[in-house]
Amino acid sequence: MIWNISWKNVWRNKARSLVVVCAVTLGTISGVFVAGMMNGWVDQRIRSAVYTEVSHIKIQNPKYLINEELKHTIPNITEISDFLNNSDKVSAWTKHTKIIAMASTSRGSTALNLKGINVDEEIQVSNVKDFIVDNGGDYFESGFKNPIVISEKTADQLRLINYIISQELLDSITDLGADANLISSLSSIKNKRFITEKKFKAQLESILKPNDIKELGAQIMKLAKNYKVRSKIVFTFSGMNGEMSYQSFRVCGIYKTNNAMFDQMNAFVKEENIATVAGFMPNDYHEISIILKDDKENLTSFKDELSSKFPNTSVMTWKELAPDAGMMADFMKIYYYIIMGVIFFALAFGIINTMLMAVLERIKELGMLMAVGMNKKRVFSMIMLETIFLTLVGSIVGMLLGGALIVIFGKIGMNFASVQEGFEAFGWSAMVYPSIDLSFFLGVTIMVIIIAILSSVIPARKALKLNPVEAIRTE
Amino acid sequence: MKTIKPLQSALLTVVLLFSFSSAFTQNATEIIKKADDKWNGEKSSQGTMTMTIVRPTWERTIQFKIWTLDRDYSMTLITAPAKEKGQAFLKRDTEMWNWMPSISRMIKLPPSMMADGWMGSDYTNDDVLKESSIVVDFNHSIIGSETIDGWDCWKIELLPKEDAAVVWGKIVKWISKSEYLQMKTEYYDEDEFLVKTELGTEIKTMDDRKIPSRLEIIPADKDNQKTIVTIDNIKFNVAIQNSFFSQQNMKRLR
Repeated sequence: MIWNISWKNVWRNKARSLVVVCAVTLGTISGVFVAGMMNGWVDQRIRSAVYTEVSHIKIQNPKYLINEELKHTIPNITEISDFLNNSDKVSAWTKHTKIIAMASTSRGSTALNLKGINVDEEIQVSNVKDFIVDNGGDYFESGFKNPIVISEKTADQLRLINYIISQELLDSITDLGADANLISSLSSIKNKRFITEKKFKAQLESILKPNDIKELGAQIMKLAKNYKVRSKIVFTFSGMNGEMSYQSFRVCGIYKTNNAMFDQMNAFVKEENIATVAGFMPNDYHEISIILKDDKENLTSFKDELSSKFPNTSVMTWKELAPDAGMMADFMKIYYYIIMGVIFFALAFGIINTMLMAVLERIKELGMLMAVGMNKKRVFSMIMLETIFLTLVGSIVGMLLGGALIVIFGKIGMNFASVQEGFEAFGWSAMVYPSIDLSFFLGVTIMVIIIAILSSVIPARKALKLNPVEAIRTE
Repeated sequence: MKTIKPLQSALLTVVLLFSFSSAFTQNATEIIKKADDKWNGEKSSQGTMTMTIVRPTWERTIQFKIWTLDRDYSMTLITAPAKEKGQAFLKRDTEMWNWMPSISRMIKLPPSMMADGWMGSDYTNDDVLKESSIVVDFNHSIIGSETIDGWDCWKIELLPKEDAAVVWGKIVKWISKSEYLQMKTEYYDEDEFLVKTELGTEIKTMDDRKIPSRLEIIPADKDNQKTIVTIDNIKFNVAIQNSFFSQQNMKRLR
C-alpha cells in the first residue's frame, strides 16, 4: 500500500520530479563512465604489467636483487623446473638470462637489459611479440645469425630509425589529396636520409607551408619513417668472469609497448646467442617467469608454496614487481566508490531540497493522513520510499546509459593521442578501452538507496513534527 | 715447340694473375699490419701529448703523459689543467680503471661508460680499449692510390668480418707508401654514410722515426666540433716493467 502511494506521489508533480531524476541520471552516467574509464585503464596497465613486463610470479636469486651481477644465478634450477612442470596451477613458464649491457652503433649508444630467452617458451609467457611495429621486422622469425628484438625507443637512441622521402611516399601523399606544389617541394629532398626525427622535422618545416604540415605532416612523418631492420648492434658487457666481452647482434624486430620505461630498458636475444660469450653454463639463469592458470585465486598461495619449497630463492608476485599496478589494482575499487560518493553527496542536497518542497506543499494532506490514523512509522516510510524511488529511477536510467557508453567505448576505444607521450612515460596506454565489473552496479544501487534514506531524514522529520490539527487548517 | 707456346703463355698468365691477386690481398693486410705496428707494435713507449677539444661554444686543452707496454698495457696521467691534474687511467688487457685523486677513488670503467668520450673528447673509451682490432676484425683490400699532403698513399678499404664486434660498416684508410703512416681514416656506418674522419698531419721525426704528430678527429654530422691530439714528444722502446702498470702505481705517478 505505502509503496503504491509513494510511487504515485513521486509523479504528482512531474516537472519537479523529472528535474531531480535528470540530475541523478546525469550524475550517475558521469560517475559510472569515469569509473569505467579508469577501470579499463587500470585493467590495461595490469594486463601489460603481467603479460608484457613481469608475468604473475618471478623467481630470482635474492642476491641478484641487491646486486645485479651475472654470477647470482638461480640455485636448484632443475628442482624448480621439475616442480613447475608438474604443477597444475601453472599455465606457462620460462627462464631468462639477464645482462646489463651497453649497446652501440656507429651513431649512438644506450644501456640495456639484454634478456636471453627461449623463443618458444617466451611467447607463452610474454606478449611482446604482439607489439612489433609495422615495417619493424618480426619476432625471431627471420633466420639470420644473432637476431635481436629491440624497442622503438632503443632504435631511436641507437639512430636505427631514418626518415626518407621515397617515391612510394610521394605517391601515397598524392592519393591523400596533396597538391602539386607540396609534391614538388617534397621531391627536393627525395631519397635524402635524415637520421633523427628532429632534423627531418626541421627540414619539413623549412620547405613546407604551415597549412600543409598541419594537414599532412603527421602522415608524411609516419610514411617517411624507416626502421633499419638487420642493422648491427654491438654489445659490451662484463661477462661471468668479470671480463669485458663483446658480441654483435642484428636487429630482427622492433617493438613498442605502452610502457616507455619498459621499452627503454629491454632488448631480447636468443639465449644460445649470448651464453657462450657471457660464459653461462647450461643451467645459469637469472629469472624464472611464471603465468598462472587462475591468478586471482592462486597468486599468493602459489607464491607461499614456492617460497617454502625453495627457501634460497626470492619469489615475487606482479604486485611486488610492478608496485604501481599492484597498488592500483587494490586501491581502484575503493576509488570508484569514492567518485560515486562525491557525486551522490552533491546530488543529495538537490534531493533534500526537492523532498522538503514536496513535504511543505502537502502539509494539509499529511495532516489529514495523520488525523485519520496513519501512524508516524508509516508517514516516515512513505516519505522515505518516495525519496528512494525518485533517486533510484534516475540512477537506474543513469547506470543503463553509463553502462551502454562503457560498452560502446569499450569496443571502439578512446584515444588520448594528444597526451600520449605523458601517459606512456608512466606505463599507461593512450588508447583506453573502458570496462567495468557488473558488481559495481550492485554497489552503486546499494549506495543510491543509502543516500536516499539519509537524505529523506530531514524532510521526513519535518513531516513527523506536524501537528495534525494545525496541519489540516493550513491553506 | 710452336704448339706449346700458347699453352705456356696461358699458363703463365694464370700463374701470374693468381700470384698477383693473392699478393695484392695479402699486401693490403700487410700494409695495415705494418701501419698498426707503427703505433702499437713497439715493445714500449713513453710520451707527452696535448689534446684540444673543440666544441661550437667552447674549447679546452688537456695535457697528459702516456706510457705503454706491448699492446695490452697503457697508463695515462693528466698533467693539465689543474682541475684534472693527477687523474690517471690504467688499461690492462680489456679492462680500464680510472683514479680520481680529487675524491680518492679508483673506478673500474663499466661497460656503460665505454661509449662515452674520453675526458669529454670525440675519442671514446672503447677506441682506447679495442685499438688492435683493425688487423683482426676486418678484411682489407687496396682500392687505389692517392696523394695526401705530398705523400703517396695507398687507399685501403676495411670491411668488418661478419661476426666482428665492430659498429662501423666500412673504414677507409690512406696509408703512405713509404713509412706506413696513417694519413687519413674515414669511418662509415652500415649505410655507407660518413660518421667521422681522422686526420694525421704534421709528419715529424720523433725518437728515431717519422710519425704524424697531430691527429684530428672530426665527427661528420656535428658542425664546429672536433678533437685534436698533438704529440709533444715520444720515445719508443724505453725500459719499463710490467709492474709499472698497477693500480698502486696510478696513485703514485707524477
